[in-house]
Amino acid sequence: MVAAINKISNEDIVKNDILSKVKDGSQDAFEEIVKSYQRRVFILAYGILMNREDAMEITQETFFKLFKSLSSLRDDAKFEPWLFTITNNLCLDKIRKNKKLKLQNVSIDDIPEGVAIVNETSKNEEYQENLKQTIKNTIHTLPARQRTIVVMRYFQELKFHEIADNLGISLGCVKKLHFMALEKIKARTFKAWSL
Amino acid sequence: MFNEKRKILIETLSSEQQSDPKKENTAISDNGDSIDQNLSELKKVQDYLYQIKGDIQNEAIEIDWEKSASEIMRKVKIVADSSQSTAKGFLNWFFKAPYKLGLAAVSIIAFGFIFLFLIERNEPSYEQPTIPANSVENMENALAKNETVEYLRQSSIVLSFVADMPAKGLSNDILILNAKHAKGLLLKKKYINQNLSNYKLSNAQSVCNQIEYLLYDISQIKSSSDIDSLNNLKNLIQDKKMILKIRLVQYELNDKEV
Repeated sequence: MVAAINKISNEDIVKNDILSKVKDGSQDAFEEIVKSYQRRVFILAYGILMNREDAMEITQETFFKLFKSLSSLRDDAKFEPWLFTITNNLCLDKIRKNKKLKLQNVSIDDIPEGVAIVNETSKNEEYQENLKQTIKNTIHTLPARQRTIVVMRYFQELKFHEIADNLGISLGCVKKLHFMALEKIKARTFKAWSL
Repeated sequence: MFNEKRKILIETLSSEQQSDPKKENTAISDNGDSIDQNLSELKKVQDYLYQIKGDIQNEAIEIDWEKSASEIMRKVKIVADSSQSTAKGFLNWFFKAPYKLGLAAVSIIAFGFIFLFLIERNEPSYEQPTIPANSVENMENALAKNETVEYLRQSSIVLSFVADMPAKGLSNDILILNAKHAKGLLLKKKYINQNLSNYKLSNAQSVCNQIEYLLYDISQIKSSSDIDSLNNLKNLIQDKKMILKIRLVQYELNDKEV
């Protein structure tokens, strides 16, 4: 199913004048955008929210909002960062509004530090799952920008300069925030490793 | 030293290249054991993050993206169609049914008038009462007419007394009282002279002037010894039919709509 997805880049969008067609009312052109970007939008939303249903809801809402506000985008080259910014903002709104979100009330201090004590010899599946769940919870407690960088880097597989473009910050800043995020995850989740 | 280590870690972890264990080991051995330990821990964090990525991608594979795209497009079409139909509907209504537009315009105007009417009706009027200029003139004319009529009525009494008085046996007191009335009427005549100049009382003016001369003579008679003068006045009033003239003018003024 993944193979069937047409993956087009921002350059393709500009080159083929797809956005102009959408602005002129072409729903086929918009469908092409949806098919190309919905998976990437979903992964970003899922990485931030860590909830499949919410991520699907945000994915649909993102394209819905995109369709309504696309006419206000002046520079087509900024389409991709713009799309991910919409997704990111909707996710942050969702976190703020959805009080029933499972991980909403998890703070850094609430995460049990002993859960992820690494024992190189005990690598059973349950342990791995617990560890990954703890990391997911920790990602959710990161500051918004660090969380987005982690999600874009590891889940969306964007390069650092692409993240910098998407977030509108410098490459050095992205690298520094990325390092800080990893340090926090390590400190909270793998604290026992330093023992 | 700390900052240098930190920079090395940042750059190493931010490398876009795939991990090369040989290269990594060199970097670590050149910069000390603390970097080695820290970097290996952070690399493990990265490994777990990539594992989570795999989980998310597995979730994404399970999703029917064709169905998702069609669902998104269905919602988008609803919005697009509704916005188009709203615009089209208004244009159709506006251009294809002008009588409805006219009806709406008439209704709006009618409601506007009713609204204004109700406001004007309910609003207390604070304007000063105004009297038309001709009304003031009419009031002055009516007042002048009434004063003239009253003057004629009192004059006719005095003249009638003189005209009907017996030739003998008149007391001086009665003559003095009559003379006094005549003097009072002479003063009143001066007061109404201004009114008599009004063209609407011009007919009464000549009669009033004749009465004035007679009243002057009457005011001079204060004793029965002036019997000749009295008889002359009596004859004059009768000859000139002054009482009749006065009544005719009175009728005329009373009937006249001033």
